[in-house]
Amino acid sequence: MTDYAAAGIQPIVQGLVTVPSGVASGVLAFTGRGALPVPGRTIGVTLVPMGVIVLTLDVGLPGNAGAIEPFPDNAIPPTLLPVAPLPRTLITMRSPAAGVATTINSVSVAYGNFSVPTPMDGSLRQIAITLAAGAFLTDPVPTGGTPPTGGANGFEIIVWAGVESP
Amino acid sequence: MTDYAAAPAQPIVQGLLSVRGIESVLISFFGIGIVQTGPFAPLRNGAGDYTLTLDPGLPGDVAIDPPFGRVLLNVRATAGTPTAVVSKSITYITSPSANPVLVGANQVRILLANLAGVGIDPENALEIIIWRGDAGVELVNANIIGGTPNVVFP
Repeated sequence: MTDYAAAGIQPIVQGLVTVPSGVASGVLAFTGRGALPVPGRTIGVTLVPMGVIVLTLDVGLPGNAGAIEPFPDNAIPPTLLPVAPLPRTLITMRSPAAGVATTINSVSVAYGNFSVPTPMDGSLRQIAITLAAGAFLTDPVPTGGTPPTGGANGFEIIVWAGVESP
Repeated sequence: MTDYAAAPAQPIVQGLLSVRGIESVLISFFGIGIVQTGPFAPLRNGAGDYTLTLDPGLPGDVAIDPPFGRVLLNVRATAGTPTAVVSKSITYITSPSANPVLVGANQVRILLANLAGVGIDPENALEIIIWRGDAGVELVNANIIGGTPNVVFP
């Protein structure tokens, strides 16, 4: 097969995030490779709100896993923008049930060190996924309380380094 | 590594689009596959409305056949604050300067909107990946869905 990719996709994370209890703010489960949810859904003593899922990258993988570059590397002149220029993330909601549309229409990500110390090289080790129905944060559970209801039955996530070629 | 992909993803564009500058009228593209300078630099037509030109300097399909175009758009926002971007779509723009059948689309136009359908910029940035959906596969299993093609017999 001819390889003509300008920048190939070699995921460092591929997994499925669910809330097995089906109850919003419940314990998260990650089925896959490359990351794990923050234990207890807390940062320090603060409970991470429903709809915000923080995953810590697995440092045991080959490649650049577990350490996202914080700024453009080797830029001339040196620049601090854009932040985290390399990672790419794909998130796909799973329907609450067959034929039932998810109510989660606001999906975004942020890269940072939310509950872990920043390494000496400044790299970013965590991904925060924010899910909402309109303006209301919600977990990906089939019945998410009030509001919203419907939610989703988990979500699929893939993360990779977007620019590996010069 | 064993390659068993039926239709591998080989992106021709991977980058990060961010809006910045005075009154947020400038956009910048960091990555690969999009022309970044000159008259075909990324253009912000309005809030959440961008025109990007594929980079002719890359190997492979720098002008993509629209039916085969595949795109991933992912919003970056502040952790814990829902993004207002709930509508993301793309249009492939065929080149007007040559036969579009032969050239394909050398530009894409991306539209982001909020719940009210009003164009809106991403809070932080937008990740963009574009690839050709059937790369490397023989179309023996292709399902052609649509009207009956016009078949002309001699």
